[in-house]
Amino acid sequence: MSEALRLFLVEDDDDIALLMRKGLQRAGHQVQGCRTVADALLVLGHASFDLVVVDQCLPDGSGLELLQALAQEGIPTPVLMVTASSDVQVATQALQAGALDYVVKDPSLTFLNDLPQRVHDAITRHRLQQLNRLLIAALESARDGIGITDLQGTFLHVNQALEELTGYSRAEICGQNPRVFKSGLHPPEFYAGMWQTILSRRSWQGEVINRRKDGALVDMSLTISPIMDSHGQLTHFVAIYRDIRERKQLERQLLHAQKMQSVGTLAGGVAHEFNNLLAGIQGYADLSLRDPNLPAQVREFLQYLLQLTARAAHLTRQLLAFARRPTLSRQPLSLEPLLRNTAELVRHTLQVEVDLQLPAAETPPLTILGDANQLQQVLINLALNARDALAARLPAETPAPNRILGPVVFALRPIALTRELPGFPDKVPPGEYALLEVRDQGIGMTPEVLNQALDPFFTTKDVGQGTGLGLSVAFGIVHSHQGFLTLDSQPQVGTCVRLYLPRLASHPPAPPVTFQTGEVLEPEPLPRHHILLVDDEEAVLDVMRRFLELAGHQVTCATSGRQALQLLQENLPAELIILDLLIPQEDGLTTFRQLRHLRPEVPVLLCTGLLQTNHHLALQEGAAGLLQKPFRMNELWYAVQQALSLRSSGP
Amino acid sequence: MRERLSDSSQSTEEVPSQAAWSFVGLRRVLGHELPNQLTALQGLLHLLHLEEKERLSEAGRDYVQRCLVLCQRWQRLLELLRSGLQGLLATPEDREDFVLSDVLPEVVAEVRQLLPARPPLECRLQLEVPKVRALRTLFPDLLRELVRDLGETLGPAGGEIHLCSQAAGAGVELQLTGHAAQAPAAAPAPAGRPRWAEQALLQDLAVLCGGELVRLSAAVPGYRLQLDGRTRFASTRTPVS
Repeated sequence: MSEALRLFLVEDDDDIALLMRKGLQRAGHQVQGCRTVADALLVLGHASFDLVVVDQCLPDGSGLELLQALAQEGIPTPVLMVTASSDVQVATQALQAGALDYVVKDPSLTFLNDLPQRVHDAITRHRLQQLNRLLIAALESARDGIGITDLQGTFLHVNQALEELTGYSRAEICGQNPRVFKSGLHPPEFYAGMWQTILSRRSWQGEVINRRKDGALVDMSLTISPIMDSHGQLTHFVAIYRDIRERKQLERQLLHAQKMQSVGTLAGGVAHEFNNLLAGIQGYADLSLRDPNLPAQVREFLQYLLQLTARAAHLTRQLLAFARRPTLSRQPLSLEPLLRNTAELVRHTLQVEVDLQLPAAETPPLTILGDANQLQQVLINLALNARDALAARLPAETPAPNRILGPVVFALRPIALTRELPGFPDKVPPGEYALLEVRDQGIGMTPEVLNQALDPFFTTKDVGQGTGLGLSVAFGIVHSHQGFLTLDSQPQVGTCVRLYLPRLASHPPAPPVTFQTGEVLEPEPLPRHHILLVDDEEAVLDVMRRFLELAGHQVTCATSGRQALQLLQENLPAELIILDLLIPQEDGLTTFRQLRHLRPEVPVLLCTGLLQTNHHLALQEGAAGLLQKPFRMNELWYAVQQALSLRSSGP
Repeated sequence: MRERLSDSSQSTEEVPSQAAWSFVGLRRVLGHELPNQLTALQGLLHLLHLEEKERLSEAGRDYVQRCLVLCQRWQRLLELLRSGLQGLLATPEDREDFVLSDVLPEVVAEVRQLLPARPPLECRLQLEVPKVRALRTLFPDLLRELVRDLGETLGPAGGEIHLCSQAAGAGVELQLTGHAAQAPAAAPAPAGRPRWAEQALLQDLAVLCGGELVRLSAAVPGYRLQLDGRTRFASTRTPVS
């Protein structure tokens, strides 16, 4: 025998016991023993053996009773029964009670010769049974779905995880081919390649989209391995299915994030160019409008052209908002003047009555970190929606001039949220907010409309009446201010949009908000100055040069920072530098610093079509101001005048 | 009043994600809103240029002409950006093998119409590799823009654009070169200053198509496009250094 076993012999006949013990010891086993059921239970309760060999007839009971007692006590030692009779009934009972086998004591004692082999066989069988149970338990407890198929792919056995993953029961899967899971999303070549691999005795691994019993698609990772018998013959396949829905979801999110980053890069860079082009077109239109002999119709065309460029600049800002690029500067902003100003604008331009509800006089200023132009756009969009909702409630036959619309309520108040509020798409967390409300008693929205109201381009208006961008743009802007939005509405009652903007504590109020002016004003007469213009866009350079020359200045143009530095090193007597911060292949901030280093006494006015973080640094380091493209030429003149006055008042 | 989304049982899937919202918004602004403004602007400028020409001063006519040129550039940037967005929205499954010679004649004909001077333009194919693997929907756009870019460098006399290809590793390398009809004088004519934004967008389109683009030397106007069919979504360039 190859393996020494620890055996326990329970036999009351001392002679037989001695013979059995000797025979088993000769086979290399260690044997201990006792004569009664009681002693056996005592020993087996405290010591472990590989096998118990039990005689059926014992002084205080039967071997069968010992077997049952061991089972009751939870003692797992396997048992081989030895009996003097060849009673089939006893043998059957013993096997049913858990005995591995039974051996008949024949009168000629030939069983003693066979006993070591019978012990070996019993132990081998026991171990195989144990291994089998372990494998089944492992299969069943695996988190991955596992299926064993024959060579045709018919499932012979599957585990519980596969039932859960596919929604089919074990009975429904066994006997079926894996094509029962097919989603139809993979071409036949996909499966052909898989079969080719596994039939050539190699493992196949890949990702598949399968269909559950309920029709849902599931991303799975699948590994199919061939199973060979001891002769190397292919007999079965084992397939392991892993649920990778969560990983796929994360991958999709990552892909989305990458795409958004790319969109930001694409749109951000090009928006700067759009603004350059718009600056050029606006500038040329402004220049054309200066002709005093311009016929009225041509003047009208040019003014319309300016409106179109303004609208295009607005859309370019939206483009950046969609691409989540910071388009305009965030700065401490007092909301009350913004609301007053916007209410005035709405009152005049939309011809609606505006009821302005502001905080009590003693309330400290409601300041946020924000962008005045963007927030004004939000309020105007909301006011436009309110106006349309009010108009829709009037009888259709009401003559237009008699249409008194309103009121639209603009309200501002501080609010401290102590608990979450439902919002879109996130809940509004507790905190200190400035709450801006725009309310109307217009036509209101049905729950169906309300549920789509913030979807981009959803509109209830007729073709040509609106793009549907209003609310979604408002949402985007508020979201970019780390703010939250709620929307309440009821048909025939009205709508209330609430904007929760995080309050800024202990910041000084922002300077007054400036708004776009209409006509280009004539420049104030100024002493002639030498101005160095640095911009890579020729149209912008050309237009700015022409306007600055109109204001009486002498202008030198440079198309790069390098060229500007060279001109200064060659002692160009510049008294003001206007620098585009976004020149390709140059770092605007570095150029700014180099220019300042070279000529610290010359003010540098910044301009850009895309605000980034570097303009803040440049302003902190002494830049004379910032012009955002596209700008009207009176804005240029004003900024130049301011920058030059800084120079004259400086050290 | 009913608080929107106050019902906590409402599934979050019903709300469009911020990313999806941004894509839809971008597509709308790029595909509809901005082109509308541009069309109106160009129409107005053409009116001024054609109908009111006599009533404008010489300087005024010059300004209008300059505005038209700026609008053309704006239009091209818009087209490039739209193509880029289309590429970003594509899925890896959108990449497929296709025969280059099926695509090219149509592209050349389209470009010929787009070039303002309408120069005589011939495209010579020297294709050794019949198929390329790229984004089928985006590749013609990229090719059109490259041919257009080269067409502009040829000047009013036109010329030929040669396109040849060869296997390169697991992919294909395409080379486009522009050859002016008139032989240059003693020294080659200086190539126009490449527009940064257009160049950057062309690079992006190439990346989104599954390739890389290299501009040849200024002396030989042209591009080398290496297509390996790999899926890339994130552009490697940054808009401003």
